[in-house]
Amino acid sequence: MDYLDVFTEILNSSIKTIVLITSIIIPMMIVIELMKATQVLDKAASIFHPAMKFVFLPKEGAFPLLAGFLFGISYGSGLIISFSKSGNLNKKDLMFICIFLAVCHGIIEDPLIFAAIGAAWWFIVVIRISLAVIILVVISRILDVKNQQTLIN
Amino acid sequence: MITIQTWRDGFENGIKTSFIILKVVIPIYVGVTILKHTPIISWVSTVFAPIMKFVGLPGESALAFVTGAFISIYASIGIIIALDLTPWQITTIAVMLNFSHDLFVETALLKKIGVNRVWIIVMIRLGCSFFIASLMNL
Repeated sequence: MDYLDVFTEILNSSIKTIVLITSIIIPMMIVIELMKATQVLDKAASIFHPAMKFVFLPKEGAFPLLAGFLFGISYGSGLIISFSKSGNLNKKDLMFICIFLAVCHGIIEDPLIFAAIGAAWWFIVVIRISLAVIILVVISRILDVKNQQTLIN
Repeated sequence: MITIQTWRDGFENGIKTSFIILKVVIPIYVGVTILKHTPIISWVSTVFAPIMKFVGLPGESALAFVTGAFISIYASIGIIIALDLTPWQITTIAVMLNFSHDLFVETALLKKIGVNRVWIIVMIRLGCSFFIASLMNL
């Protein structure tokens, strides 16, 4: 084993990784801060009210859904938890929202981080959104027919 | 309202978050690169090759998936950059990990949000990972 080769490989890749990650995360956090400052999420949420109706969710579900979708469960959970405490969303609503988010959250950061190491960013985004929408639509229809309590409680 | 402070906060958060992420990615990448020169990675590769074959990935990528799925997605990044994968393979494991990552932490958060039957969500996520990945291997 050539120690110098391994050392050079590690050094080169580490520097490359540091540059890649910071060049994604710093702009991303700036954008998040800008979005918080302009409260663009509140305004955007109202656009999604018809979509909420389509999956039998109250319009209050749009904001937490959008927050988690864009910022991820870790960053968005603070917003979502305080929103869910306000009482407009029942257990079924939370389950639906969390099913969607579990499949598709952090749509800005997660695919970008993988794009930095060579994955096809657009592919990940399309697949995640499509699958999340399909699953949410199907589940909301199934639970509309069956007894809702068994899955939620 | 956007002020100078907004930009400053964003930049500061960016630096802090980058640091948190890199503290995970770099050490793990260094560790796996060193391990690559020992028999350990080949052992992992042989053991998991049959399962990973379904999704068109080499055995050692099981390490990346298991780490990313159950622990941290950034840990898996550190492992993936140490492996030799084609762009399609990287995309495949990226898709798998995008569905199922940080499962312990995120599931705990979902419970806090108010979901009772979190196991359903975990099943959905893992199911999506393997289902889509196997389709990508056709």
